Amino acid sequence: MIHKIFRYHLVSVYFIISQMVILMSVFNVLHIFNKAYAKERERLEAIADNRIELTVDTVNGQDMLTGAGKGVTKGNVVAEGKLTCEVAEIGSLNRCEVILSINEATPYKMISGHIPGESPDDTGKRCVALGRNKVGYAKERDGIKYLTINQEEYEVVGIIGSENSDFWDYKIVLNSDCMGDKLKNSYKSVNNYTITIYSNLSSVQETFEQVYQNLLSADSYSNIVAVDKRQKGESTVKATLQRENLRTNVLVYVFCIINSIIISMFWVVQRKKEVAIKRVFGYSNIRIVSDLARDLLLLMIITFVFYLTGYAIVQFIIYLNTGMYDHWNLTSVLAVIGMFFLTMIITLVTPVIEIYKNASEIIK
Amino acid sequence: MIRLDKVTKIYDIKVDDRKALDEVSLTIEDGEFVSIMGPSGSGKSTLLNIIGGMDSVTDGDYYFNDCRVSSLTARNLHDFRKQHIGFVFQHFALMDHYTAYENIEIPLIASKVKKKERKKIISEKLESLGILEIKDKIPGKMSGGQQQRVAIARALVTNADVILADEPTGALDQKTGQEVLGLLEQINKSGKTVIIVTHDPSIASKTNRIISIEDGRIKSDSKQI
Ligand SMILES: Nc1ncnc2c1ncn2[C@@H]1O[C@H](COP(=O)(O)OP(=O)(O)OP(=O)(O)O)[C@@H](O)[C@H]1O
Ligand SMILES: [Mg+2]
Repeated sequence: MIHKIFRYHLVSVYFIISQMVILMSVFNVLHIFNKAYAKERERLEAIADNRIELTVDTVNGQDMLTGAGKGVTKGNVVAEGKLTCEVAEIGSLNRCEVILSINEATPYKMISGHIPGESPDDTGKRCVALGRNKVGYAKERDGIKYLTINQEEYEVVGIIGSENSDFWDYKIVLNSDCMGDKLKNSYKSVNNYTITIYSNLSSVQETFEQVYQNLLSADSYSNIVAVDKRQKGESTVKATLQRENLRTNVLVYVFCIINSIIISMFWVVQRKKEVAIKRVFGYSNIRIVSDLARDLLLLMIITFVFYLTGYAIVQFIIYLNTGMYDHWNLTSVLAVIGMFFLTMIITLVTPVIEIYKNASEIIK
Repeated sequence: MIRLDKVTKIYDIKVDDRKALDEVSLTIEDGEFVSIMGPSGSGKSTLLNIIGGMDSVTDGDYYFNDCRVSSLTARNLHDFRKQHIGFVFQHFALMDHYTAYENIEIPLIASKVKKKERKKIISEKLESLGILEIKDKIPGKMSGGQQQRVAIARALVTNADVILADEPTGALDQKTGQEVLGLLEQINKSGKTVIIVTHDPSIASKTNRIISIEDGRIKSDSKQI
């Protein structure tokens, strides 16, 4: 059977390669879509039901963060916005978020450990939770990972991340109660940031009033704008898709489809004599075409199986290294099957036309 | 019985209105051994192709036994060919990437013969033509004589009534050509009608009837015993 398909081995091999590239582009596109939607899903899941966002502008160089969560008993409070920290191991400024108060479960997806402040042991200790991407920079000593933030060493007490997407991978999460003085001092000069008060359990109005008071008592000249957030915010899907090379993959696919058409035309040209002979000796056009279709289909299936095997192996390696794997939903599976058949039909159209058009039965 | 009645063939009236065949009338009885001779371009292949149902007539009628072949639909023509005609070509017309066995198998597959049955028939034919040992070779690895034997085997497997051979010895040397002719003679003796086109008078002289054509017309038609 196999040797029959590979009779014209050069064309067959070339066909397989082009099919391979087609599959690659299709899988890439789907991977990008899956990833973008997984990330968006994760973002939406992380958003609490009740939220108030405060935009704080301050100029006086006060420590606004340490006392901001004082007396808060409901909901969580976190500061972010323009907050950054200086990680020596990475050698650059990194965006981070600083937890000001924890009173209920945080939305972070943990791979291991916890968020600073979630454990009573954390109080007074310098510690941090890192996304998968950042954790790679931490140095290990006696089984504990450390990261140098603003010239002080922080213990890594948690690794954040999810198997579904890279949404959490770049996070650096600190807690104002578990922070070094140097970092605290550096935040005195930050004069604009946001503080989010959120809860899934209760209204955050009371907490808002408390935090508002705390902020004003730290700097009575600061300007605070509070917004009760109802919307879920802007979708990240479009941004993710733009960042990924979606267009390149689509172009590659189109290019390969054209390539496939050319190959299948060449396939017929190469088999011209064979086709003519088969016709003279009684093969009908349908029979000739179906033989051709069978060969091409088998080649496509062989390629598909090869690709899937390779894909599985690569996924497994990625999973071992990053803990992430592609999530396939019904739509993606249907899309791949659809693309498979579309490619097959497009590939077959030219030979079929070719065979029916040149229905001559004369052998020269 | 093959009967042509004033058959005219013009390939493409728009390009060239010359008649490749011009009112050819001809009867060939079952079991005859006929050669067709004539200069290049005289219409020999055209005549053979029409008899074989590979080409249509422009005018006139062609009957095979009681069947009016000239008015068959493409599909019926196809079946007619499968049932009654075996072809042998000058350049063998073997499929390059197929073994001898696979080449011979083609008409049998087309006639939906079962695999086991195919194997039996092909082995018999290979045996009787003395080419059993090359059954797994591809044409490129065979001599011209072997290739033509494979082609003859292919023409014979479906048990066609008529074997048409267009210059079957044209690409072979004298000796091999004679051998192939010997085979065709045998095939004729076994009761089949054999019609060959040839340029070679020594080949033609071995047949029982020589039809000469020129400019699409029959110039002479002589039977010999
Ligand atoms: N497919 C075709 N289309 C158009 N004209 C054709 C075609 N085949 C043959 N002819 C023309 O018909 C005439 C007869 O051709 P044919 O092939 O029957 O000659 P022939 O006797 O077999 O010649 P040769 O000995 O060279 O094979 C020639 O003038 C040729 O040019
Ligand atoms: Mg000719």
